Amino acid sequence: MGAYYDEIEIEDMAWDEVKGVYHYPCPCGDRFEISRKQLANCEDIATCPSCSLIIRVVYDPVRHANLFQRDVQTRAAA
Amino acid sequence: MEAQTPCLRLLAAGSNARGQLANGSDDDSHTFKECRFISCIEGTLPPGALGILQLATGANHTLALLEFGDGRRELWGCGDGRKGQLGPEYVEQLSEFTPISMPLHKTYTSQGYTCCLIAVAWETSYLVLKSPSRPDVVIAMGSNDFGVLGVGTKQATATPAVVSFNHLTIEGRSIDPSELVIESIAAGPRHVVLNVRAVLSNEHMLIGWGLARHGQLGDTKIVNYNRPHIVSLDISPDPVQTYSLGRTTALGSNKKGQLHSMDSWGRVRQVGCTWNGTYLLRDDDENTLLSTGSNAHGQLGLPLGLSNLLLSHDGKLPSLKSFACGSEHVIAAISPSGSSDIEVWGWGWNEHGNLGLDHTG
Repeated sequence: MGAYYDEIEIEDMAWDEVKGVYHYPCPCGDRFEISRKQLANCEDIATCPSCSLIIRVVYDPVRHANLFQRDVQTRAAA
Repeated sequence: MEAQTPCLRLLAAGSNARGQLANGSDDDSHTFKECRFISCIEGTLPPGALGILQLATGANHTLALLEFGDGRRELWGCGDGRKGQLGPEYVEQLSEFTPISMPLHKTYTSQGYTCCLIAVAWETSYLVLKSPSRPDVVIAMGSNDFGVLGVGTKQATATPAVVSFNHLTIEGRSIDPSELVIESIAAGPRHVVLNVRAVLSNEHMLIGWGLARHGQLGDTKIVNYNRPHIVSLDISPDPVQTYSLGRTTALGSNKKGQLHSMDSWGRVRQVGCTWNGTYLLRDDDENTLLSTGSNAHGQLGLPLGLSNLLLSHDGKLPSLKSFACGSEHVIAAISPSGSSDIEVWGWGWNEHGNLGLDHTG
């Protein structure tokens, strides 16, 4: 836990439809971001582009792998 | 000899990605720099301003409520306006404080309303308008993540909206919103709480909305409330003088120990919350500042490595006047004994020069 600023459940993160990322406020004023593709790849570190802090995202990898697959199919159909 | 008018200046340091420090740039400032008010002499408040009644800071925007000699109040803002948090006039960024027309002013100014209280969540601003003869009005503007505007989920974010209390009931009895007086307002990054008095019964209640899944609004039944919700909490008949972010009354997350022993302290003069800590300034002879929560960056004013579940008794500073909490840092106004000067002390996270010490260590 020491290396992370915090551990955050995905339910506390907001979804940015335009950028395709989940995000959570960083104390610097920017935001921690992680994409659905990263979640589908079992990555769990969301980073802030403006500072050194990182958070660990707590989520269900299977559910997010499915959501990512659905995104890919939706884009292919479009 | 002619008396000199005191020259008030506002100084700011720290993160500045969207110009929220109002110093004319969008570079971080590691020292305290004077804030600029547009079209005013550099470093001074606007002509005639007596002072700043309230200052509210969000992710990347700042609101200042100014008071003038003739009793007039003006709302000025700077920083990020992309989500509508500075009102519909400014949708980009302002790197100097600029007057914000009171939103919906055509409706409310003509009815004698003035902006009396302000609060700011992450990317959302709240204004409480009061009129001598009409009910209080709450206006929300900016981002609506987690329903933090309090007007449902369909609100277009850039449009200021009036928050409605018509649906609220107590024990099945509906409340007349025109009898509600808003005494104070406090916002966390994604929730807001009003301290409200019902005129007829003189009863106080807390009304909040936004993210709630950690108990910020008194229960964890649902993830978020996108309309005002009465916080289930017994409040003594005494008005709550300073109410800030739930956690101090054992509301909200306790993951970092930020609620630890909160109920056991009386005679508290000021409360404050960072994102992961709670601070109480006691009204005793020694002005003890108590802190609990995360100490990962020294935010508690204690040596690093100390257990973050212990309440600090070390903050005895007889001359501590007041303090203010950032996201992960704290600053305090301290008057050394035998002196009328005020010193500013700071501690906690300093990666963006937040403490104004000319370094980021």
